[in-house]
Amino acid sequence: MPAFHQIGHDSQNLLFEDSLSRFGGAILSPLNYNHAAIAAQLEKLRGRNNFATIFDPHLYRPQSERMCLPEWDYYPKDVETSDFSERWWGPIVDAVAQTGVGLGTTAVASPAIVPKSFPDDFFLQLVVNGNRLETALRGTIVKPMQTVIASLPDLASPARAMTIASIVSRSRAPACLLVLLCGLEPRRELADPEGSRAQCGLSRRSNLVGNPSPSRVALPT
Amino acid sequence: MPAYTYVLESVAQAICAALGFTFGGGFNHGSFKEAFLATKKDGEKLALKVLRPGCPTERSDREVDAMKRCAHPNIVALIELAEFEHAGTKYTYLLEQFMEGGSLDDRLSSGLLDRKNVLALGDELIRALVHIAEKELVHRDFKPANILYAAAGGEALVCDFGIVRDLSKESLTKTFLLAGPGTPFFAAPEQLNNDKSLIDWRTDQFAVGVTLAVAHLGYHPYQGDGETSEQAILNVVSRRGPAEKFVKAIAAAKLPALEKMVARWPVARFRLPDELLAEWRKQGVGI
Repeated sequence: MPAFHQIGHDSQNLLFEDSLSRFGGAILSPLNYNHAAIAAQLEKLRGRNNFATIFDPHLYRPQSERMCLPEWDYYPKDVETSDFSERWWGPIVDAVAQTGVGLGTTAVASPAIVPKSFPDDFFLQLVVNGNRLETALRGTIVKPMQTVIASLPDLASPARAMTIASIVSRSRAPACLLVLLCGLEPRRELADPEGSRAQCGLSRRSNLVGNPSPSRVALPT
Repeated sequence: MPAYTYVLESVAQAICAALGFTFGGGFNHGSFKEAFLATKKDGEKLALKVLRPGCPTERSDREVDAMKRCAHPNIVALIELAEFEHAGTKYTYLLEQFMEGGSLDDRLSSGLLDRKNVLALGDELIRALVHIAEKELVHRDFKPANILYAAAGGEALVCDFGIVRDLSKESLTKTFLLAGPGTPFFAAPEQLNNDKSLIDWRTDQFAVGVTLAVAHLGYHPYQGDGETSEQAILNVVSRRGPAEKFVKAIAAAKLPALEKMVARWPVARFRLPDELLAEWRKQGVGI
């Protein structure tokens, strides 16, 4: 599985360094950049062989700072008052798909939020969004990716990891973007070997049909 | 065991009289309905199934809805669904194909299937499963008694959608129950543990795998040497995984897909119905 670069504030420069050309792809950041800026990044990346560009809509944390997100057409205006029902998600998923198609990315990740807890129902809802995205992208060359957000401490239980993997592997999307939440500050090393081992297992299991499925450990819980 | 008394026989007779059919007596019964043979004037035989009054209507509605949605050569066809008033009570009845060839259960009572026949049976059942999964349904009761033959030498057809799960609708199974509905010997771990979130077409894949294993080997994949069938069920509940003797036997029989079909967790089974069908067929190449 190749490494994917999560573009952060000004970190897109790393993609264009010769010695860092081994990335399998970049996860674009609509949080840090508006449509024009991401379109410009994609223009610079176009033509690179074996390099995937993934549009992640970054709807994870409606309570957090939104930076450029409100400038994007797909970003919901009613995120504070929404009930996050399937009916609410539907048009957002479709708009995210349209955004990815318009930008010409390799893949689009399904929208998801960071929940308070991680019951089975949460993962079932993620799959609903992933399947809707897969439907919306049919007939295009843009690949749908199932976003899976999991809590790293939960994964210390192998049975829990297998349960989550069993639910999310129901998705019709051929690849998965795995986002792992932990209590660490960014750029700190993980000290929990069980969680790390289970994360590897979940990554392997969620690697749905053999396509690269980037995983990320980034957001503090 | 005393002979079963068909309490809905008079109703079935009245329905046959109203339709101009010849009544042929009862041949099967379940919790929700009784089944009778009815013969049309042209000689075509039908199964007349009369629902018991007061049986849970949501379950029977889902059964009928599932049968209406499924139209496949390997699934018993629903011909008609109607209501009939008899002695002041309204009864719902179904007319289905009558399967004269008996069940897989009947066939297995005279011997196990060889590799060639189990490959053919697997192909037929998996084709039915692909169709059922496409309709977002989970049959939840694949087993030899629910696999019927229209005629001797014909293809297998799946019947009895009595506990079908419709994934597009809310589950009817109470979350607090220890186990979900199903026949324990053929049920998947998620069914036996009532892990409702894990129920999908892969639950049926497990039951088809157990059915094929029983048809070819004569024992449950989780049944170790010297263990009873009850212990095999407990092994499934605890997700112990297939027994060593099963793994060795299917390796020798060159049926590797069977091991994956009965994996402990859905994620370890075949993810897509078409993938299962393709892998099953690969095993038959060159025979």
